Amino acid sequence: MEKNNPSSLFFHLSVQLCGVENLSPRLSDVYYETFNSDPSSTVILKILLDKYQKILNSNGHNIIQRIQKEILDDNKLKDLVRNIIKLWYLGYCSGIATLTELKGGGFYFHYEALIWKVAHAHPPGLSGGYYGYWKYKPET
Amino acid sequence: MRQKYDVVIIGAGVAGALFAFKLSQSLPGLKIIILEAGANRTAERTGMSLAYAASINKNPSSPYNKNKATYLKSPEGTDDYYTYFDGSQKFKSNYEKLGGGSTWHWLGNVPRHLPNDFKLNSIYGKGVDWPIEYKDLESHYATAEQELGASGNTEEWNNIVDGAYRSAMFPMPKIWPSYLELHLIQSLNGLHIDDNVIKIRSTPQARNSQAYEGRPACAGNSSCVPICPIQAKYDATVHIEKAKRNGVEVLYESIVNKIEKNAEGKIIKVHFINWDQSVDFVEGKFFVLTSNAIESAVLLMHSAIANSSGKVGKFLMDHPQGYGVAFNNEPVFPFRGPPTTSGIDAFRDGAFRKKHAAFRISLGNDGWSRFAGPDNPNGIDNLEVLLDQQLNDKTFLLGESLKKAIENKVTRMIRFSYSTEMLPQESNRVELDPNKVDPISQIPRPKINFVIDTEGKYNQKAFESAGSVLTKMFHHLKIPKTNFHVQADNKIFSGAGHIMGTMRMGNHSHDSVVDKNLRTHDHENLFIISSGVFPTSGTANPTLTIAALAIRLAERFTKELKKTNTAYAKVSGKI
Repeated sequence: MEKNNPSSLFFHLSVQLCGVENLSPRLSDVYYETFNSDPSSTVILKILLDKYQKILNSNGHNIIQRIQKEILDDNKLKDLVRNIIKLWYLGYCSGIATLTELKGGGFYFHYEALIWKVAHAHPPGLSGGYYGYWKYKPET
Repeated sequence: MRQKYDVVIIGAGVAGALFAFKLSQSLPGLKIIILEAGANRTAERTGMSLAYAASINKNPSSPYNKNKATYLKSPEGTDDYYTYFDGSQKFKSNYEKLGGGSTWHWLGNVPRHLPNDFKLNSIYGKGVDWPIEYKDLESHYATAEQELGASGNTEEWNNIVDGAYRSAMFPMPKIWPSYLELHLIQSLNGLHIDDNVIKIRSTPQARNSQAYEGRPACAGNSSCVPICPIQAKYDATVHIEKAKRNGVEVLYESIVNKIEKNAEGKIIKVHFINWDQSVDFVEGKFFVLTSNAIESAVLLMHSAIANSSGKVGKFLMDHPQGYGVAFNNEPVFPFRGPPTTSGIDAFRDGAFRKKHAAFRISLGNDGWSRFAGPDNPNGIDNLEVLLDQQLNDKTFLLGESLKKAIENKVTRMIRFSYSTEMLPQESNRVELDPNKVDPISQIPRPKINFVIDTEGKYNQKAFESAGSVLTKMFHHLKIPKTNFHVQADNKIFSGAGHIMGTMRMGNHSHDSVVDKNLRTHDHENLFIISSGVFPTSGTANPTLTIAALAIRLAERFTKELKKTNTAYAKVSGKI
């Protein structure tokens, strides 16, 4: 992680929140900019990343527990965390004004939504493979 | 002025396109034109697939909303297109106005009507009989399966009930069932419910199980509704292109707004307005109306054509749908493969139809779709609700715990949907709304009265019966009561997209609009091919029957034109 780079920090935090290792750095940059450019979340995003940086700087273990204790106790931060997770998992989330802009090119977010990976499936509209793959149990 | 055509077809959906192709194939040189209100978007398949993926509110019209001419009003994705009479329920089915019509967004199921579907009144004392029988349509069903490219298990479907014989094999083997469906087949087949034995069988589908006529095999994109990105699923652009290659002329973005007759009652021309707002007309010898059951009825009423019976617009029907959803006890991995490949057909016919409507059950591979679950009573975006439940104030899961919780739920989602028969009721109707007239085409919007059970509870009892069947199946699967939800109230129904009635077929001019050969009783040179001519609904998805009727009419045209005049291009007599 590039030190003091909020975008990299956002990526690192996203991995922790979602529980999925191989997130797309490129998509992370887009999502970071989405929240950062939204007037309703710019300030709170900075607070969130500052708090997360402090957790990392303390070299503490149990990062998830510390996020739950030190970040989710603030309702505004909790709402933002919820939206970050929903955006990663679904490719959209409600309540973020600038997300309306995502509608224009949002197919990438749909295709990359984590829900399909966690379901061991694929996004509707994007093939899961060869004819008949659906007959077999997916690799889990 | 345009040249005079032998045959003028209104609408480039499956009925118009297939009829034009078959006629142009058997009578080369016949001058045929199709007038289509929507655009030609055949080359936009990839872009429309991306538009669907990008849409947050995914529905059957998601790919088609962008770049639509604002004056081509339609019910796609809008709640205010239809207006309603007081006391009406919402009519929940819509259609697409573009070249290829609603076959762009259809699921692709192509079961045939059952023999008794044509004789509901004489067998069960309900509704009316059709003026044709299964045997009159059987060979045309077989041809339609070839034309659309149907995948199915011939052995499974031959004589599925008495008289439902098949004269030809399906052109392709059945679509393979999903892992989820195989689990349900193994668990439920043979289960006795009341007097019935559950047998889950492959649903015939116009979706390729192998490469077919230049289109690829299904790759399991899982988005048949609203769009197949690779055209493994049939849509009517297939036959539009074939018809064009045979010399058929297709005018897109041309909204027919009046059918004109002469003093003798013969149709002489149709008027249309183009998207660029220029006006035009075409003259012809024969006219074939093939738009859907709502738009066709509106055009006939607006033109004061074919309605001496007063029945145009009457007997509107759909297949009202209910469902049951559950968390299975073990993962079955939905969201893979076609949205459905299998169903239960045991309840499509039987003596029970004297008391309640028939229904057909289908298995879903798409999770709970948009249906309400045991812990999501609103049924709005089940996946978002599922996520919200893990992120509530009490148990805000993060990291691996969150991932595991979602995986545990989403991989166990199963769904059954059922589509019910609906009796034709004259009060269920489409009329013209004089208060909502399109400023460009001057066509009034459809005003609808739709009440599922106007008398008795014929349909509601089918919902209750289907609900009972689903509940028993969930019990048999040993799914705890808290983990399943069955919707068995027809006041909370879904539309099937199967718009029927409104221009019914019958033997008598006083109570029907077209005769058994699809000719309007009032005009010897005007014909209608549409699910609007269905006298009753049965439980079969209507498209294959529409296609069979189109083929039957094309054969009749061919035979009679050849007989009437060897130089058939010059005919003007009767068919």
